[in-house]
This record gives sequence, structure tokens and C-alpha cells, in this order.
Amino acid sequence: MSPPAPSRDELLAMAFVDDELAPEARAEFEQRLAREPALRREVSALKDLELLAREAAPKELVEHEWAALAREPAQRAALGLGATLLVVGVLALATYGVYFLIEAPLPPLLRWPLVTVLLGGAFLFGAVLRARLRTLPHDPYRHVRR
Amino acid sequence: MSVPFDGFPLKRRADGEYGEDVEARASAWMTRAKQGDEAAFDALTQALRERALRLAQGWVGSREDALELAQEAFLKTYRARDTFRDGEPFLPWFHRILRNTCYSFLRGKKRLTPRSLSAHEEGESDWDIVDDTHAEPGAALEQSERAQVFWTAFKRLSARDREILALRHFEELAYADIARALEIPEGTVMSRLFHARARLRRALEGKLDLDGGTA
Repeated sequence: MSPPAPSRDELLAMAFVDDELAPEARAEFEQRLAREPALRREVSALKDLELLAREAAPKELVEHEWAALAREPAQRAALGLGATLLVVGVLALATYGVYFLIEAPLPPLLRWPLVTVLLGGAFLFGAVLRARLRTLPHDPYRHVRR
Repeated sequence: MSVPFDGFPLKRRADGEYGEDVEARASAWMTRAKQGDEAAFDALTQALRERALRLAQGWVGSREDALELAQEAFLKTYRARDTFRDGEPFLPWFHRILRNTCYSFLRGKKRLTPRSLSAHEEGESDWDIVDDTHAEPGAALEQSERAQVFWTAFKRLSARDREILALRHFEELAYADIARALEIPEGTVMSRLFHARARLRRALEGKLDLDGGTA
């Protein structure tokens, strides 16, 4: 037995969700949505399906490769080792820099501008980090992955 | 400008990603490839390979198989370049080659069986795809639980339902572009899409909340 043909409202709801309605028909449908709960439920169900399908859609080739790379032990090891070495190196250099500023026989006209530049950089970094941490929970793109 | 459908007007889009502009470029590339321009065919392949891959995956399920089948479809297209008629729209022609390639693969695996005519609204032949449960090794690792539920339901649909859902949801084609790819009227696109979605929603019933509440 053939399935029943869709009603006009069912087709309208589908075209609305698919953004296929002409502007005048869309405006008219939106007015109806405001006062017809059954229509709102149909639209909501179609939007849920749309979101689910988008979430499940096959990955693009480049995304697939990124995901595969991220799972490779060699890639993970290289990234982990690289990041660790970088952090250790930066900390060592920073320690030496502070020691150099304190102990090296620098003329005051060089020492204090250097201290000022470093302190300014540290304050700016701290301020940016603080702002980022505070706004992160409200960032609509924080769950977006490549 | 708008066109009326069943009493309400549908939007006419400017050329989008798969609009008439893409059709014109694809047809032009194919015409040049027919004249021996291999770079034109490379450009054509680059432009369409993502689309071919996602459509093939909609039919066969496995990403690895889909990659091979999409490549095979492009190879067949290249071999058949002399039969491409100048001025003919390329995308529907390529869509037929890709579909036949996927169906041949599924027949070879005994995963394609004819479906009863009475089950469909338009009286055209359709096919059921029998999916192997082991079709996607490793794929589960990449998918969320919701995505796995979706694919389990999607694989219960017929080949024709999968095709139109893939064109709409994976390729995000407008009705006019789907109509062009499948060489059917826009009204038929809407009807097929409606019934395919209804069957998908039924297949998802009880597994995910898609009844208009919060999913």
C-alpha cells in the first residue's frame, strides 16, 4: 500500500526548515507558527532530524585525515614530546633571563628597560589569559572542532 | 523570483555551491576533457570528489569502499568521455555513473535486493540494501553515540530514500539542485524527501527524541 500523500502543512513545514520558502510564504508561515502548536512541533522535529543528520554526515576527506592523524601513536608521541621540550626550554630560558637581568653587569639604562619590557609582556599575557578564561564558558564556538 | 508549488511559492536561489554555475563549470570541464585536456578532468575530479564520496558512503556505508567506488566512478567517467554529448548537463550523467557503480558493487556483495513496488508512493522500482554488520571497522571510534543511532536507522532505508536524504542532508543541496541531479521535478523531490524523512523518523522512534521535544 502506498503511504498517504503529505498534507500541504507538512510540505510547508518541511520547506520552511529547508529554507526553501519564498520570503512572502516564509513570513506567512512564521505568523502561523506563533499561534499553532502542532505546526511548531512538526518544525521542531524536522529541525532535530536536520541537526542529527548534520552531526552524522560523513566527514570530509581532510577532516577524516586529521582525525586519523590524531589517533596515530607516532603523531601523538611527536606532539607530546615536542610540547614538553618546548615548555622545558622556555622555562629554562626564562630562568636564565631572570638570572641574567639580576646578576649580569648591565648598565642601568639597559637593565631597567629590559625589566619593563618583560613585565609589560607578562601583564599583557596575564590579562589576555584572564579574559579568555572568563569568556570561554560563553563562547559559542568552543565545541567546534575541525 | 519564485515558483509556485502546491499553492505556496518556493525560493529561487542565486547560484550556490551546487547551483547552475557549478553545473556549467562541470559540463565545460567535461567537454574539455573529451577534447583531451587532462587538467580539466583533474579540476572536475577535485571539485566533485567530496560530493561523490559522501553520496557513495550513503549507499554502501563503509568509508573505505566509498573511496574506492568514487574513484572508480571517476575512472569510468573518464573512459566514457567520448560518449558525453556536448551541451548535456554533466552532474545528472555523473550521478547515474556513480549510482550504477555503487549498485554493481552492492550486487556483487549480494547486498542489493529488489523492493516490492507497493511499498513506494510513485510505483518506481527501488532497492533494499542489506548491510553487513562489519561494514565499518574503526568508524565507530569517530562517531558519537547519536551518530551511530542515526546510521543504524539510515541503513534500514531503501537505496532511493538514502539517495535523496544524502543529497539533502549530507550535500545540503537545494530542491532545485536535487531535481537537476536526479532529473525529476521539484514537486517529486519534495514528495520523496518527505516520505524518506518520515521513514527515517519511524526508524529512529524510541531511540532518539525527534518528536518535536528536546533531543
